[in-house]
Amino acid sequence: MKSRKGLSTVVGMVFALIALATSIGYITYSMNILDQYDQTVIAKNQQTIDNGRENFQLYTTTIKNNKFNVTVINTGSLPINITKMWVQNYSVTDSINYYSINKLVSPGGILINIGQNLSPNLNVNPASNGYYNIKLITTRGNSLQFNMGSPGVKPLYMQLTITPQELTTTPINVTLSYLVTNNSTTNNLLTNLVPQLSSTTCSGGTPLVLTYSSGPFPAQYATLPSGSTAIFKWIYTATSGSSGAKCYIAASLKNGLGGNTASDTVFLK
Amino acid sequence: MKRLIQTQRGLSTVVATALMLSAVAVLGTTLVLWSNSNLSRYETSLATTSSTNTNRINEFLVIENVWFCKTSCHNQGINKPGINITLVNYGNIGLNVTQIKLNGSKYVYTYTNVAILPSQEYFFTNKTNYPWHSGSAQNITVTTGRGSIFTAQMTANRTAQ
Repeated sequence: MKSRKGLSTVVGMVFALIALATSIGYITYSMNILDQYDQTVIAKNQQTIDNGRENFQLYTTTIKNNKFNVTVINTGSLPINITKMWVQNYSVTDSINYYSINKLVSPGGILINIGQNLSPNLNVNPASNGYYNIKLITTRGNSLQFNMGSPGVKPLYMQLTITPQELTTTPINVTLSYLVTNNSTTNNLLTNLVPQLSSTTCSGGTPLVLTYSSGPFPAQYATLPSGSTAIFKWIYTATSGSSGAKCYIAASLKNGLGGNTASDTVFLK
Repeated sequence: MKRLIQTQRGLSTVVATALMLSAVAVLGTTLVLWSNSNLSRYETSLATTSSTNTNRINEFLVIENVWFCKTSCHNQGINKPGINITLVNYGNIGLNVTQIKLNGSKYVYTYTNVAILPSQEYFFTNKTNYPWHSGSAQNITVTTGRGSIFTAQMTANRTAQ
């Protein structure tokens, strides 16, 4: 009897062990799978967080040696790798290209001369009415996009002021101040702003005579960021004229939009 | 007589025990095999689901650039406005693009096998006229074979050609 009891216990134990081993195996396997999945989710979350923390801004951009010269600053807390530069030339129909950059920028660091050594070479003529859309891409898929080019694409806010405007005596020096504002609301950088004055239109009994003395100061603005104002000055001398004589002058940008001018009038009391 | 009865009783007990043991062994083995088979199926299902979801999570497609072209982005002599989209796989696994949708469901381009390997690009050009308007937002939705959806909203620059 004792021996039969023992046999059933052994049989029961064998099945119990098999069931236990199988259950433990399944649970272990499941836990491992879930752990791997968790790791993937955590890694993806970290990647998403890093994407959000990546931050870089345009520091300055000019055209140097007929090439783009872009400087960016890494304002985030992570190193970034700028991989590509897309350039779309708006002044030529359907023209777009990208160039490899592959440069690292550490947090707080700046990367200069972007666009100076592109392959294939990309030449930009600052004197032309070229207008470009530039986009820098990082390895995390983030981008920095801005427009850059001639002021002749859109009308700009501009103002010409002659001081003093009412002359009491001659000869006297008058200052012409020409203000040009980049009124673009997007990241739109204007390049190569060169001012020019129209010939003076004077009238009166004895017309007022305005003689060029000096200017413009400065001769040009290489770049003008969105929201900024460029100020140019000329000095003219009012040499003679009768009371009531006046002169009308208009200012514009050499490579600006046609008809986009500012004007003012000076007169002799 | 008494000895004979005792012998018969012992035999029936042995037979009964043997039958019981056989039945338990057969039923137990069947039960174990069945549960093992079930667990194995669950394991396979779990592994497949986990692998699919892990791969889907690891997909990292970026709509890197969208070019709104005026006439010649088709490169097929079609003088109509078009859109050219550059997709880059920044993830560490390959993926298949199965569908590209432009601005909702009006322009849907379905693919069967556009594989993009890690760090590789794919340039999509719509084959028909796509009448984008300068200044208006364009929604772009890209679907992969694993079911991931990547979206971007782009606006054609007012000065774009």
